[in-house]
Amino acid sequence: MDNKNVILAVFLSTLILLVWATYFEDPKIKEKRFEGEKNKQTQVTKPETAGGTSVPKIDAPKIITRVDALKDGERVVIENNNLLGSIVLRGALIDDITIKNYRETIDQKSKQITYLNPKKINEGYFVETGWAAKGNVKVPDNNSVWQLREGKKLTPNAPITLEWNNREGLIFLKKIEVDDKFLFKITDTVRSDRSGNIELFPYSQITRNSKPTIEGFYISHEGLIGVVNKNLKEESYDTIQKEKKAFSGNNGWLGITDKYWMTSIIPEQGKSFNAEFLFKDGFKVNYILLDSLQLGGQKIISSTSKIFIGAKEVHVIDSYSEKEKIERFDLAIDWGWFYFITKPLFFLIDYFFKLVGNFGVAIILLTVVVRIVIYPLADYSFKSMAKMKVLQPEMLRIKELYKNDVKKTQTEMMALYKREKVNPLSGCIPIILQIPIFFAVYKMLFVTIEMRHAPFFGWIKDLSAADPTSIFNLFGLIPWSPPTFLIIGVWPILMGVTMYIQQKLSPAPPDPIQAKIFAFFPLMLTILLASFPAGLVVYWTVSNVLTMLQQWIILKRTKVKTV
Amino acid sequence: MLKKISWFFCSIIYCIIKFYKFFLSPWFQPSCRFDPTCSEYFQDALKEYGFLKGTYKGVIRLLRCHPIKWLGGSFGYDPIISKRKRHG
Repeated sequence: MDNKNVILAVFLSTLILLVWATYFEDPKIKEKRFEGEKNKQTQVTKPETAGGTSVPKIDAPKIITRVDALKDGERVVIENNNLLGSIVLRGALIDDITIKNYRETIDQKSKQITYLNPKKINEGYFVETGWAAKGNVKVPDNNSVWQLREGKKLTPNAPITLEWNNREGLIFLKKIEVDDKFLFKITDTVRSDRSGNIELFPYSQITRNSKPTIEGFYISHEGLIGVVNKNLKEESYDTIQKEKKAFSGNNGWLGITDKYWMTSIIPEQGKSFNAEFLFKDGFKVNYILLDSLQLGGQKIISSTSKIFIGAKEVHVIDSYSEKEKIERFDLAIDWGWFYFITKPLFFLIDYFFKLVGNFGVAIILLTVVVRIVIYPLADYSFKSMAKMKVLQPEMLRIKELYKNDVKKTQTEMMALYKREKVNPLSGCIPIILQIPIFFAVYKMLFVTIEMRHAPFFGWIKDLSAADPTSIFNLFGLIPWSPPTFLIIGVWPILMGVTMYIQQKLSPAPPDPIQAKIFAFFPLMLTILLASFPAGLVVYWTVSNVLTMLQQWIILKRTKVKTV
Repeated sequence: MLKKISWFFCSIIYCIIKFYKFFLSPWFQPSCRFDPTCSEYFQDALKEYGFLKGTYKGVIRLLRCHPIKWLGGSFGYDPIISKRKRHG
């Protein structure tokens, strides 16, 4: 066979692994450490170097801290059970949001997630709603100072109303409401005291001054996102920096998403809009309604938009999708190609979690369920494999008999199977089905916020992160922290060992070279999976053990029968 | 031109099957109900019929490879019969 190719393939994949570990993983971790230190010192802005473009000039010098930026100008406090923040009256921007119930690290004393930031700092990230006018009409902009008319502090039961007078006969009102989770509702109203026809178009916009640190892993989208007329649009920061994207439709939502958090603007569903993803003084996501509202004489017009700012909790996202009728808002969570498998799997795990209170145990229960579901098929195949072993001498005889005629051998084999009624193997379909289930578990662990910082027993404090222990410092006995690619924890090793035993119980591949390479697989996968979410490794290990158990029982049973 | 495109897609699928056969398939119990196996059949089909018809034939064969009879499950000797004379 093409043994050269095989050796080449193995060599190349090992090379890729090593290169990936040294050039991508290590710098990423160093960068994170560096950033952590920087945050400790002061929140001084960092120079933007991505893509060689220079920092867009924004009116104020950006070397101020977040705290200082928040002191600049009057603010109205926002608070509910999940969010804490404020709205700045200059511009009426939501530019200060902290997600209260999540922390930066697994340490319960670490900082809560600061999500939106004032525009004057480099990490500026804020949302606005407003009006665009046709002709020469003064409308409020980012520097208009609004007055607080109603309310004091924005809470779920107490909306606030802001007012701005253009001194030319138009009064702009902005009523802001918030629910107990992550949804804001903004009603913009304009009252006219002057004659003449005015046309106004409602818009919303999210601005993010700079590209955040992203995991940059192909498996979950981080960047600009939206659904326009049922079509999911996902664009990376780098693409948008190069070129603008425009869409139009009459249903959907738009936003900027991180792995676990998102800001999204939602137009009134059913009204046609034009939307844009662009880079101009920061990354912008906006929409503008196409049908203008006419204002003439003594008239009042108003427009409502919704804004989501917060954590992408599965149940919350789904409830907004249904109750608020936001089209395909569930796609805010990157379930991927296997949506139809991943999501039900998540609900199953979530159900187990509610029963037992630990996601690790829930994953083990899932493994058991998956095993039970495919048991009938596996049982079938194991049984016939055991029977095949009994037929081994006969098969060898056939092979010997038709040594020089491959075709004849195969036909004779089939005839033998038919005679002995052993063939009914489970077939290729069940096997091909198992691959997506595994991938779905991986995706779920990686993508859903529920798995973030979810502890298991002992040293696993976060199922969505890699096992932190390492064999190279004897699991913490030696005071030395090895480089990333040498962090091979207890669970990956358990996985490797169980896989090795399982392999010994299965028939070896026919090709000798393949068999040799195959023998290295448990080791290779141990190394590879060491950097994967611990939950996945737990899933795999338990799955191995269950397969072995099943195989052992079946083998034993068939032996008893035949002897 | 059309031939080149067909050849291009054929080789992509061919590589995927090769990868599966070598790296993934040995993890599972031998379970194909046919002779030649579905992956061999798929490769032969690509060689014989090109991208479109070959993929179609291969997928149909995969869909038949299970024990549930009323859903089209089947087994046995079922090769691609080559019209051309091939070596190796």
